[in-house]
Amino acid sequence: MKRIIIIEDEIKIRDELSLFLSRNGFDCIQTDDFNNVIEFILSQQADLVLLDINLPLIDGYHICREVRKDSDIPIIIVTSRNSDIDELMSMNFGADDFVTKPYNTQILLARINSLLRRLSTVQEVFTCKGVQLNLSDSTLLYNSDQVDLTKNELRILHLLMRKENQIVSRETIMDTLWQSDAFIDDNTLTVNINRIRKKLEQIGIKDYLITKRGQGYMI
Amino acid sequence: MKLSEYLLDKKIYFIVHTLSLTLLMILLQVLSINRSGQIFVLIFMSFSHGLYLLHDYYRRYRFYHNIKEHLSGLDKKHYISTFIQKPNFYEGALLEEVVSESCKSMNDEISIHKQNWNEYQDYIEQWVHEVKTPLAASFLILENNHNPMTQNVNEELKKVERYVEQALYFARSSHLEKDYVIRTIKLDDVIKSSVKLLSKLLIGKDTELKIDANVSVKTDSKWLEFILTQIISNSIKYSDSPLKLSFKTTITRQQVILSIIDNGYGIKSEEISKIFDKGYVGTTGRLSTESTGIGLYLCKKLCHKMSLDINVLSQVNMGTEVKIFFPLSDYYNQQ
Repeated sequence: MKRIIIIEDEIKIRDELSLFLSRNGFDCIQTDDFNNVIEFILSQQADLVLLDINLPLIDGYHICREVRKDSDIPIIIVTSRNSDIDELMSMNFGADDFVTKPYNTQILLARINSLLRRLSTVQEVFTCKGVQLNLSDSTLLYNSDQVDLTKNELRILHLLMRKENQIVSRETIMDTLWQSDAFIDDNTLTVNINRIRKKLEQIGIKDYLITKRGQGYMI
Repeated sequence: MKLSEYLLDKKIYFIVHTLSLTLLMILLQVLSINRSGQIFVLIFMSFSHGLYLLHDYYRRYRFYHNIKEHLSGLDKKHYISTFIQKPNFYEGALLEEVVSESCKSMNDEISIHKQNWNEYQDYIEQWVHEVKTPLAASFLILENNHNPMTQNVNEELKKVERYVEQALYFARSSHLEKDYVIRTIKLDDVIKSSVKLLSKLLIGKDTELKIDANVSVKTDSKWLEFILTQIISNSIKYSDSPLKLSFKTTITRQQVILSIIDNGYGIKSEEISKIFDKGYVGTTGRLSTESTGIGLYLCKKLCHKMSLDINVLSQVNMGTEVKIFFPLSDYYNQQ
């Protein structure tokens, strides 16, 4: 499980963020002690840091710069300041990404995942109920049968598999696709879902992707 | 001040003077002073008065002409007091005193208001950033407690977020220079990020989206993104499902033109000239509670500050096309 350090002085945000991330398969670490944040980050052996800029005692930019001197750990800066200048400053201080508050949780998740993937510390193969989804070559594997997926099919299956046993609404699926630049409409989604079903049948899986009438889909 | 005006202003003086001269002539007649004596007195009197008038006219002319000249050349008229030189006649000195006194009080007043305005602006910016923290917390709480009810609250909060953002840009719009970075950006990227910000609403409208804007322009991406979200919000507000929204670019020698085209309700031709006015909502807008008349006003203002041009073409029931013009600099052409 990937470990994420959350540096945030707002207790509510910290707690909810760590609940949200742990539900999405991450292990979260937080701290209350803003005197020794830099030492804390360096000592934790985590995979990623979510860093707020406006902190008591020292500001996030400083922390970012200091941590960067000793470690290559991915840092995502989270701030309510949203001008280009703030973004430039963050990048200059060595941050890997910049997200503004209030963030879209799906975007935040996508950024975390893509950053971890870019640093190839995230699993490339996703298994759910015996079916293997390979993210690196975009294929689906069941027993020894394999089928190729298009980009959108891969994204849809990945989302549904991550939310195993939960209903995912059509809107959520579309929104997730939109966030990764696939601006599809309702009809296209239907077409994609049907194609996924056909491909699943090709490799011998039936009733894997269930339609919940009026609510969405579920694996 | 013309001489004729000056003389006209002195008409009472002339009447009284002519009367007194006539009386003097009668007196001289009565005292039986001879003809040449009378004429000598007449010429002498007239000459000395004329000389006095000329002198008086001249110094006034110099003073007032100087003021008028400076006044017409001044951009900010309340700085006129700096240009008035103290004259050597009483009324002028009085005027100079009055003007410099009132200009000083005016400038004091202006600087008080400027200071208040700056403080207010800083406050709004700070407020916006502070309000974003509870907003972020609320979104996370809702995300962690997913159900139809929280979904609705989520949508309402999204609106709050957009209004808050608008307030921030409104406050910033008068001192854009403060956080403005011009970089070469790809129009594509900015369009995509603004579309993503409004993804839920666009999906709700079953939008068919086309983006064809693989062009680089020089501008500030955050400000452009804000402008685009305002325009897209309008397309969403004033259209029926399914919405067709497309982004196209045209490149000419001097500029890149970005067109944002929808198939919404459109704008009546008699209203089109007013849509960028502050507070103007139009006949369609009045039917909707979400119209504030601020969005397009801000777009225009921000475009103006960034030296971009913006205009709107529309046909009722057919749709609307918003065009944003990005100038290409000479430097850019050589690249």
